[in-house]
Amino acid sequence: MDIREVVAGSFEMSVFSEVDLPRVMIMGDSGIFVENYLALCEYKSDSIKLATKLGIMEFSGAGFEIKMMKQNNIYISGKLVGMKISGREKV
Amino acid sequence: MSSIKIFHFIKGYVILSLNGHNKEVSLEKLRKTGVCPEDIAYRDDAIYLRLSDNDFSRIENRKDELCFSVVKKSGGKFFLRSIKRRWVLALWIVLVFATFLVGSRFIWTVEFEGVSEERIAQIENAAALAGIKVGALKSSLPTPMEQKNIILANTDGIAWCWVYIKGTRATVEVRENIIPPEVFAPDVPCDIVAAKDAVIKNIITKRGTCCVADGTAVSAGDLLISAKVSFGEDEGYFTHAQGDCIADTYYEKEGIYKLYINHKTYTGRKRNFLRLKLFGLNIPLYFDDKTDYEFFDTEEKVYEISLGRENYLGVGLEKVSYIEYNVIKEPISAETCTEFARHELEKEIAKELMPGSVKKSDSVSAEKIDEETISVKLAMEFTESIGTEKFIEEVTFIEPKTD
Repeated sequence: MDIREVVAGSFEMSVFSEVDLPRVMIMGDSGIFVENYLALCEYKSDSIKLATKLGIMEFSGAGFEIKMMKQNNIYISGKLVGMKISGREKV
Repeated sequence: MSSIKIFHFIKGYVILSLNGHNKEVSLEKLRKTGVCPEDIAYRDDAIYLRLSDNDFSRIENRKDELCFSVVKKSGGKFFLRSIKRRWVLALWIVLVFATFLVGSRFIWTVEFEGVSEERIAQIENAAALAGIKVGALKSSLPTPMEQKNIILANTDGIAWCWVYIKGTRATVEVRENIIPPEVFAPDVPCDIVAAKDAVIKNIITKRGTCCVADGTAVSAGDLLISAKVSFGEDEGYFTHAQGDCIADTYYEKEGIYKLYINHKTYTGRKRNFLRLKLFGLNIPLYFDDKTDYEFFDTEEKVYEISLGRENYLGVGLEKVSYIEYNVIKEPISAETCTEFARHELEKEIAKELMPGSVKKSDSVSAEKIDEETISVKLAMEFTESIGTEKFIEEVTFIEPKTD
């Protein structure tokens, strides 16, 4: 277990504020905001795959555009249909 | 969103495309350099993205490593850079701006609204005295109230005026005096005379002395009710004559009409002539304005450069179009032509009638002059009140007041 998780757990702090777990905010079916992603694995207009600490996070839909791409944050616009998280992957 | 777009445009931006098999890898490499790509879109098997000019300058030298190609450079920064290399163009732009800046400080068009043709020269002169003329410097004009006072003081028959200055156009809006019909006060002595030729049907005298009997034929101007009321040979006084003078009137109008109607058919031929309106000048952009068209309509359009909706900058384009048409004669029957003529002649007669006229009878007759022309005559009889007041200048004794 990561030392930061242990510290966060001992102080009963929110896991999100302390560790690099991905945080996903979905705005209706038209926008996705992902924090703490590691890398962009695949980008097509109908699917986007992001590597995160949890594994590959796959978004499927239509008309995807990446409106903003920063070091840790990414904002995707487009029609979201589904989301899937597959096994942990080393990036 | 539009303000963000304007901000990006002013800052300058570059559109890049990532091609090849490992587009995502290139994008990742790009991100790891610390730049912030925006508006990333997947189109035609390529990834397009936008970078700010500052970010682009950081990766510009790593083109081979990052596998990108530049699609477009846009925005104010790049525009200025391109102008730096074209100093003649820059000079022209500066000159145009300077011309607009200086030219917009003057009045280049003066328009008049609400003024009749015969009075327009007088108003023009008065406006010129108030400084409102082509080429006048706007900052040297008197205040709007002073302009109004000068124009009013130097014109006759004007009730109100105001000068609106919008851009380089001055509009003088005028309200002319409406002269009311002459009405005599009830204590002013006046006769009642015939307004037109007629046969008197009935006269009811309320004040004054009746001068004509029923059935008498009178001419325009004949005295019907006299203002003089006599008691004897030398005694009497003058009053304000009043009464109803009902008479039969007769009107006859005649006109010559064609036994066909002209129809226009446009040939599709059109000639346009352009004139450049440049700070009060009207420069023709053609050598010859003559057309070989026999029949044509004229259409005028003016395109003006203005700041906002109304602030005319003094530069515009005037387009005059001559549109050719052919005239086709369509024959009509004599009856139809007579009916058209009757309507026109009735309108002409109606202009001469007194208020409250009642039609008694009418008759129309047509006479053929040649194969294409007829003469139509319309006769109408009316019953109308023909009495009109006429002021008496020399009065010896006025009716004493009873109260």
